[in-house]
Amino acid sequence: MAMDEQTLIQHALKLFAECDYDQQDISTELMQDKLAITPEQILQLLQNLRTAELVEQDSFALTASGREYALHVLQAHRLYETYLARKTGHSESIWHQLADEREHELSKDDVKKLAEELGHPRFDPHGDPIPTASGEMPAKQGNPLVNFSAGWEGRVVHIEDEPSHLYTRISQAGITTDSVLRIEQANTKEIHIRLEGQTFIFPHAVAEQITVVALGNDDTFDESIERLSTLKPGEKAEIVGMSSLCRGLERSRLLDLGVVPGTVATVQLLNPSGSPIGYAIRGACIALRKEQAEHIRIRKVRQ
Amino acid sequence: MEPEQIIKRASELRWKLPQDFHDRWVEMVYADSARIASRNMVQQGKVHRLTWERRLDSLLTNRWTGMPIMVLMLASVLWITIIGANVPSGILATVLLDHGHPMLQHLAELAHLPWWLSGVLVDGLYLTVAWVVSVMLPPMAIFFPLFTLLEDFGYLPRVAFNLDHLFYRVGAHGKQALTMSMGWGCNAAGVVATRVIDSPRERLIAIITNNFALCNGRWPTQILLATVFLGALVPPALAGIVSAAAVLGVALLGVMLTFFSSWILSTTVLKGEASTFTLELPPFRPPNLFRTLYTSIIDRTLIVLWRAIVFAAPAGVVLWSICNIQISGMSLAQWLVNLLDGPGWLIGLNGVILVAYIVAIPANEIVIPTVLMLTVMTTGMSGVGEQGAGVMFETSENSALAMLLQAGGWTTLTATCLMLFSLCHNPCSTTIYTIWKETKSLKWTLVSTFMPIGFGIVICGTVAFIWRVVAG
Repeated sequence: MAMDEQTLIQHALKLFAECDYDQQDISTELMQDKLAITPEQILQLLQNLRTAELVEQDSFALTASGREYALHVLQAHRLYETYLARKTGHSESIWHQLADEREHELSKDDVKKLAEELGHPRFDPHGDPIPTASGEMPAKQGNPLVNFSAGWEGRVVHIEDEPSHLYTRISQAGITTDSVLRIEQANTKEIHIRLEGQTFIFPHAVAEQITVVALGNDDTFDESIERLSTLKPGEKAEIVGMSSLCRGLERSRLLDLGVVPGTVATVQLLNPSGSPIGYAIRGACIALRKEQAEHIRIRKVRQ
Repeated sequence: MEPEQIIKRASELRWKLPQDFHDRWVEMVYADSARIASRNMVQQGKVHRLTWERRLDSLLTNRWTGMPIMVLMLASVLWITIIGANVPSGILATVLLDHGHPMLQHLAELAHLPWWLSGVLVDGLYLTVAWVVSVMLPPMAIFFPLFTLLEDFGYLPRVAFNLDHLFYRVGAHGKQALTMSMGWGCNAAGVVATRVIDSPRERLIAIITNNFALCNGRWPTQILLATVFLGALVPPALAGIVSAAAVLGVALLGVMLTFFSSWILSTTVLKGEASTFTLELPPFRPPNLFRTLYTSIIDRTLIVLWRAIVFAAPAGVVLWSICNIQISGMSLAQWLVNLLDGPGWLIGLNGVILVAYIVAIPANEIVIPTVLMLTVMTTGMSGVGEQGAGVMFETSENSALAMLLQAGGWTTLTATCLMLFSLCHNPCSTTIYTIWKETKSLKWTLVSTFMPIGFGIVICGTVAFIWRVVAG
């Protein structure tokens, strides 16, 4: 991929800031890997960064102006991903790539407008914090899911979106940055996790991408929570909420239709092809596609 | 505490809120309002659905009965429209064309209008508008009320429900089934009907692909060509079946192209548009006949008809003019026909057809009359359409028609390609204007206009090429 010099500098600064946040050491090997450039180009790049006084002369640490610049790029990237998630129909596998292209064109003013338009979001769709205009960012929290053993319960706070084939497996399972889960089984190769009435088996490579925190005081793992898609005719469900995978236009439309906590739903009309299915919600029959019903959390009610 | 400290503390706490705090908060607001509403609201009437409603629902959405009922309903609506429109169309044609036109010509003579003025006004403007009205009004006045009745009864949302999985695969909305069938009546009305789709991406797909639904301005062209050219290839006993199958084939090709182009659009130019799906299945209710008639006649039929007239009138003027403006001893129309004969040949058509399509952008109804008039003009045939250059006509004698067109160099290939081109060409100007009104976007209007022509050129070109290779 041919990159002009400014783009490359911005990518490098973003990488430095991300490593700083992850408390990961920067090396030329890491740069080579993440930026996909040759060792000669790395040397040239480092020299340019140091000449511009964005990186300290004797280490890989960012200078004050370097950090400010890096946080601006990071803010642009994460805001733009949030924008893509909420306002467009692009599939999530290409958000990162699109944001990587667009972040360089966004000025400070554009970023400010974008943040305002989106209501100053604090986290991007993957759970990464979005730096504020004054460069504020919280300390990193949580640990990779693989660090925990069977029986542990916790909440997902971050899902790494690179590489995208691992990310796709996680998002297809409907796991998102607000999922509460329990580890059923963990061995040296795989980890079995339980959430919303289903069990998913992930190899370690996938589970590494998921960062989790322990549950707070008023937070519990609720075994009775399931997904609306598993509701059968004759059963009755109370809606608990919607997963954060249901976003933007779709989320507000469903809220308007009465898909809110406390609403009772039943299956009213089955479809020969299995999707969509008509649900009786607040006296109306509303047809939802299977993947929409998967994003709605319910608790079955005894008749 | 100092103000700075408060702000600092607030921004620290801001990061401590749960990630989905905002979503949860909005959800709680909705849940609270729902609770308040249900506490203070008394609901009258039935809560549970009646047994017959449940039975009917499962009959209409059943794996075995759903599809046959749908095909039957659609076929009967189209059949009633075509059969029912014959009589009023005939009456209108007699009044407006057979009597009105000569009468106006006579009046123009009495008023001593110059020949060119009476030509432009009576033979051009009046005749075209009268033609469009007599062909277009009756089918629309039958089709739209029938359609609205089915809609009001609650049947159409069930169709969308049954077919959604097909449309889902190409990235479209089940309700596109409805706007597509509306397009079989009139594309402009079909485009307006896309308002029922509340998702931006799916709505644009439905608008752009609506032209592949064969509208009532094009059904007659298809039926005529299939009868005259394709029906004539087989023994008379089979002629009816063959020509009906050919017309149905073209309509089904249109449905396939709708799916194909929807898929292309949703995976390329439209993939970034926001998308959502919801489909409300209202309870069945007896339709209100009076309101249905009023809304479908006023809102749909008359508005579309008015737009068509507004666009057809200038077309009539242009048509008459190009036939009567002479340049170096040849009419402008003749020049154009000669110019377009080459490109026309490549896609299995001819110059006359292309000129007719350019002039007839305002209304598909006048394509065949224009083709006939131009053919008489270019071949110099006598015995039919002797009313003069620039005066459209139609003949009810199929044999005379076949003779005339064969004299104009038409073959089975020409007829086949014209049937295909009639399906895949730009929407009429009424529809283009409606698309502009609905999308307010030059880009999508242009895409809707030129994408079908692209399809048409490729399909007709391929058919013509293979045909010529195979036939030697």
